[in-house]
Amino acid sequence: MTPIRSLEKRGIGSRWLSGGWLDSLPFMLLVGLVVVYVAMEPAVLDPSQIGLQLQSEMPLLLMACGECFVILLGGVDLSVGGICSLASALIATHSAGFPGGPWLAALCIIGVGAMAGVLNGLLVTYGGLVPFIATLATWSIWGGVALVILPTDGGTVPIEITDAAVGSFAGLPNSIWFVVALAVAWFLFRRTPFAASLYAVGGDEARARLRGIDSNPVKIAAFAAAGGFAAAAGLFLSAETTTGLPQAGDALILTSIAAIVIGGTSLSGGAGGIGLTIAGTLILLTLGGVVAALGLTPTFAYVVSSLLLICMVAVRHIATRLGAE
Amino acid sequence: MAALDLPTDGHDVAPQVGDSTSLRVVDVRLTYGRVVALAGANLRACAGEVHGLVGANGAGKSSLIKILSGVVTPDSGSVFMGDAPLSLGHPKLSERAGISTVYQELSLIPTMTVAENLALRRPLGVRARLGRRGLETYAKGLLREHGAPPIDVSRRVQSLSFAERQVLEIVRALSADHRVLIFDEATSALPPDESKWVMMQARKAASNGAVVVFVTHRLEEVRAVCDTVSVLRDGTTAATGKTREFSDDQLVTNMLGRRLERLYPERTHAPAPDIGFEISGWTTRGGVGPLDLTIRRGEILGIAGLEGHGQRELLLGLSGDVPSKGSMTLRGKRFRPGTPGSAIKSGVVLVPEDRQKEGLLLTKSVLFNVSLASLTTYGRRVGWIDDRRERIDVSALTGDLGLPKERLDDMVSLLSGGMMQKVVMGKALLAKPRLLLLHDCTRGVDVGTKAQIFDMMFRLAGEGVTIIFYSSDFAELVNMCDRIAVMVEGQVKRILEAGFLSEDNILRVALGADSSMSTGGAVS
Repeated sequence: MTPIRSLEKRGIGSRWLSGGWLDSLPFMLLVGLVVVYVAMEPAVLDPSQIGLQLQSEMPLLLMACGECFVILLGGVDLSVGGICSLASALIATHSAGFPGGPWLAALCIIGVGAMAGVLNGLLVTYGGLVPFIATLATWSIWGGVALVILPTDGGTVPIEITDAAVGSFAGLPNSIWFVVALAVAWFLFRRTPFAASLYAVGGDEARARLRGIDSNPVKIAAFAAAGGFAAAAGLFLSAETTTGLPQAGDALILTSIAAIVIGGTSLSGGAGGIGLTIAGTLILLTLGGVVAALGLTPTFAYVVSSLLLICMVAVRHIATRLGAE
Repeated sequence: MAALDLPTDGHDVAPQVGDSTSLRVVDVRLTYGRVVALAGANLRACAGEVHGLVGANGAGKSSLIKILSGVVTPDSGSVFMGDAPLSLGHPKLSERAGISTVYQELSLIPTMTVAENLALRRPLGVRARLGRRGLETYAKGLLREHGAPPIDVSRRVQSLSFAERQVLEIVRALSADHRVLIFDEATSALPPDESKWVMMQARKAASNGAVVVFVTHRLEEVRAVCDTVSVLRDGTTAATGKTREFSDDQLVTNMLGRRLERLYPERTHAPAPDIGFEISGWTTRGGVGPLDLTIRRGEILGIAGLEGHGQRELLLGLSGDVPSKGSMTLRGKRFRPGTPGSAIKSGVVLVPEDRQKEGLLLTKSVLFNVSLASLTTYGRRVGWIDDRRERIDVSALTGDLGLPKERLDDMVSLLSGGMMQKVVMGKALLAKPRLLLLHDCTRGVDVGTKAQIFDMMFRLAGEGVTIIFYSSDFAELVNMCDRIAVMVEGQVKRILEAGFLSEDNILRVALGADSSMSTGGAVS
């Protein structure tokens, strides 16, 4: 059979605008910021310095990675704040004397986070609630439970867990390894059929169904991942501060969404990913460093990162508009 | 069912012993609320043949296809593959039963790339999965295997043209394991070459032993590719049999339940001598122009060309949806549409291409949709809406278009495709246009509705409305237009004048093979 005439050359408009360079924009920005930062403060290149900086950002990173699954579906999960606080309260109060040791306790807490996520998923799929409303409610519920378990900051965190968070391995701080592990895990996960279903449902739920994909299990799994990661964020927070923080999760919710958006993941779903989210989080981190190096007050970093958020979304919007026409 | 003197030898749907390969739909019923979509439809299509499925909009074709592909579950009735009943109800189950569908609304995920779309839910080797390269090789192989035009597999589907998406959807359906292949209006948006390719694929699948169901509005395609044909009307099977046993007239009569005297009305008014609309040195973003066009009052100017040569940008630019530069004059007055809203106020109204996406608010009533574009007309002193006058005007107008009055308060999403198109037309007409832009508004519309739209066009032209009519169906342009502008790469290559209007001439100009042709028209 002879192939028919090419359809491709007929399109009018600039193709490259809708292409891949947008995806590399956050990475280019990150590299630029790092260069500026290192030029101002050469001392930060030291591995232990990098480790410390990453460690301070790790709860946000974990939270953002989990939240990213839900954002990829075009949803939003506010309850990650409550789940994070709950995990922090639990590890500080229930790990001592836990049968099976502190690591099993930590694992169980992550399991609790995932189950809380499953509950969100059920409310959204079978309950028919909008993610925003469903998770607004569960955020308060888990935040409340955290305060019942641990009314004020306090409690104790097993030393093994703190060591794992702040220690080092093979000469490099553990926090660096965590970031590497997250990136590798995402690289592998991205190639699974489940990941393809996630992107398909996020891109167009009705059409994904036409392709034989059940969206409900995908949604429930995404919320479960968000819950599990939020619990991990809470554990890390407690580990590095060696104390239970029953309200610490709330501050991370919107910052994690900002990190995801700066990374370039679309709030309407179907485009982006954890690779970009890691870049987004690191951009926020480096930006804070640059602001500090300029001798400005840390609060100034909020202003700059918010302006950046607006810029990134605007650039993306304009580029896709031009690319679509 | 009307007692029509037609062959019905294929109407027998009783199971045949030993026939394990035919697809049978037996007495399927489906209702949405109080709307009856299917009232006992039957279908029998054998392996190795292409079975045409035709019917007016709202006859139940889409519903029947949705049942086969598992999108909806029928209230009653069953589907058999040979003697074995199929359990359907989810696209996954249809896939398992070997039913592969080219969806009319397309099942491609817009945010995913071509390669990702083709690989979605396909068993792939580890090497094809690991990395973008393997996935793209796989996708390129599929496109080549099916003789599809080369589409850049790394592009996101949302950046493809409609024709490219349609081709991709077909390759996707072909690449699934199938015993039954359904083409749901796969050709309605395609130019002639690609339509031929689609028909070739249908033929090939049938000769490989699949049951092929081919839904189309074009009778010439039924003739060209279908061995047997079924006609649906009002949710039941009105006729079925071998294609060659039906005349076109008989098919149309079965579709409409009455004889259609003619598709194209008689032109009674000539265009007025004075200029209705003029542009000069006009360009839009997206690479169209610079263009100079002069159109008289009451004239119908056709816009033709191969898909993606700027027709869309031209119409969107004129309607204010896409920014444009250059001079525009409407009945002697300069005007510049900043937005579609200001264009409507000056009397320039667009009937958009994608009626579901661009033209209608699906969850609102017919009345709301029709009057939305002209709400200011019904504004009273303090800004309330005069809903009594609104209702009277809308029902008069929709009555003209053949939309029943009692459906005015129905939600638009419950209407059939043809009805929706009438709502979109009604909305445009209520705004009292002076320049009406028709953007492929007859695509996927049945002949009965088409005839009504054509009547309406001539009536409006007779009243002095200037009409710019873009259609991907060249026959419609030839029959409806006073002149036809053929576009190539964003330019008007040539304007065909009366006496030189033919599908051949359009194609020749569009393909750049017009040097030997005498068109009688000025080269633009």
